Amino acid sequence: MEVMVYSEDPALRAELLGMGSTLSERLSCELSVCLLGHQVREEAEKLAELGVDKVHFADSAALSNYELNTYAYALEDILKKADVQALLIGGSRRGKEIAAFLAAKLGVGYVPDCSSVKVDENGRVIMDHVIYGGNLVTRNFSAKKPAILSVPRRAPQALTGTSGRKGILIEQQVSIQRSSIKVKGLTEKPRVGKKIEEAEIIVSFGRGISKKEDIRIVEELAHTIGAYVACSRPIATDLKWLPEDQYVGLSGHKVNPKLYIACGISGQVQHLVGMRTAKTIVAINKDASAPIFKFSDYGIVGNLYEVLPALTRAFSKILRK
Amino acid sequence: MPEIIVCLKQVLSVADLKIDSSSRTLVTTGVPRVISESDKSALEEAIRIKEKHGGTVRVVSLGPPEAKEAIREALAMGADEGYLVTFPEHEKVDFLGVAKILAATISKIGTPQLIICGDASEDLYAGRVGPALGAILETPVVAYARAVSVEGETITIQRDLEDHVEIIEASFPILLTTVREISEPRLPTLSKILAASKKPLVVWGLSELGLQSNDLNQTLQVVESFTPSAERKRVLIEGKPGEAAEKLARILVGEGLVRG
Repeated sequence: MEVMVYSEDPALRAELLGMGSTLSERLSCELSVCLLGHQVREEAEKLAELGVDKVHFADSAALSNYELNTYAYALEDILKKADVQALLIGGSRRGKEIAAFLAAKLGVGYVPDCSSVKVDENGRVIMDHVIYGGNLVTRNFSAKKPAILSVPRRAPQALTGTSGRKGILIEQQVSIQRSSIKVKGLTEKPRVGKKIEEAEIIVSFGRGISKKEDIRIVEELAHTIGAYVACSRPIATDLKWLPEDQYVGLSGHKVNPKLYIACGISGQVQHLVGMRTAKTIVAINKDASAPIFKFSDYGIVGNLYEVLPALTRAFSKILRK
Repeated sequence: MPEIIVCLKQVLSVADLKIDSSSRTLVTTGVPRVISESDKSALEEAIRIKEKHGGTVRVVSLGPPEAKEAIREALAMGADEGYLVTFPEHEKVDFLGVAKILAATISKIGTPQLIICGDASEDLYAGRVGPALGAILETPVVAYARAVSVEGETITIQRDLEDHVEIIEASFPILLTTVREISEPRLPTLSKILAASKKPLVVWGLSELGLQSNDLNQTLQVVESFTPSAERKRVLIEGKPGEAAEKLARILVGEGLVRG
């Protein structure tokens, strides 16, 4: 019996191990990790040192690069040969598509973006699913095993953990499904500096900024406090004032910083979903009835064009001392 | 000349949902229903492919009888035929059941070369049904498409990943899920809306699909649901901009959130 962990992204996979470890303890079973690729034996050996009981790996030229359809059938083969209680998948887009595909192949329940999982008195794996833009949480279990859940990056419960375990390697022969899908290229999206998901402080703006040139007042504040500049969706996709890797929201980035300062953002559900797990939220908006104030720790009702430069000056003064 | 089927979901408008503060439950009465944003963009893309290459666009949806409006809207945008599957317990079906029903519907219509679904609907934002449907139909899946081009039997897809754009080349049959940004949906003209009322809109129940309700046993089951509490301090800082800004700055530095 095992709890299995899989992600095509090594960094996400490391995050899953902590959650997987806790879950496997609660279920009194082993912890395993899955690896697919080409010439991956060495990587599998390193994974075995990370505190897992088993490393299942499949090694084939056909698995050199991630491709949903090929990888899904390979994972299905591995899962069918093991007695898996729960499968934790890293919540990248690649992870989520493969989780859904696998769930249908195996006929099991799958909860996406699950950052809270526990075991109830009946030994069932209970997965939290946040829906309706954060307005409702459902607690779910799968009537058939394995329960599948995808876990978002930096989920509160995900810690990188190690234990004294040293795992055994199991090389799996998997069937390679040939399809017409060919990956022809992978290009990096243009990015400004560090990734938004890593930012500890984010200053974000919305339609309260009326001209592109005025973004300067946001940038000056961000620069003063060492913050990352982000925006709401319309700024990036409609107005195109910032690249898409800087927008926060339901279809954009989900962030979890220590401090999120929302400037001229009304607080529509689609935006809130992207930042509601921030430790401290500050809202600045000239409309006292803007929904964002209900979801903030601190708020200033005022004109952005006055408040932001004043904040910049105030921080400069305090931090210089 | 691709035959295309687009899967649509009619959803509650998430921005209009409210919580009843006394019972702490979701209030859904009076909340308008709309075609999910990414499904609408998917439909727009399908219509553009048809306009360029010929073929037929059929839309399929599972929902309440009221979802006929969503299908009419799709027909007005340019779809040729619409199929609604509806039955009393349709809301209790989990994502596997939805995928099973859509698969049976598509098989009954005649599996097309191209199936397009929105990547995720904004109500649950789960993104499960698209890949699940491909798995059940044994049709290859390419998800999160942001641009698509068809040349004869080859389809080239740009996939939108977090930090990368992936280029995929494939042939039909294929199932795509598309991101909302793939196409800006057109607004149907009055003449198109009128023409839509003459296009076929077929309504099926489970029996027409050869399914019974116990074929759709809920695998994913809900044990409880609740509305999360706001848990924010909601402190409003008073004063003129300069004063309020100074107070806020001092609080944030004091809490160690901003450091020199």
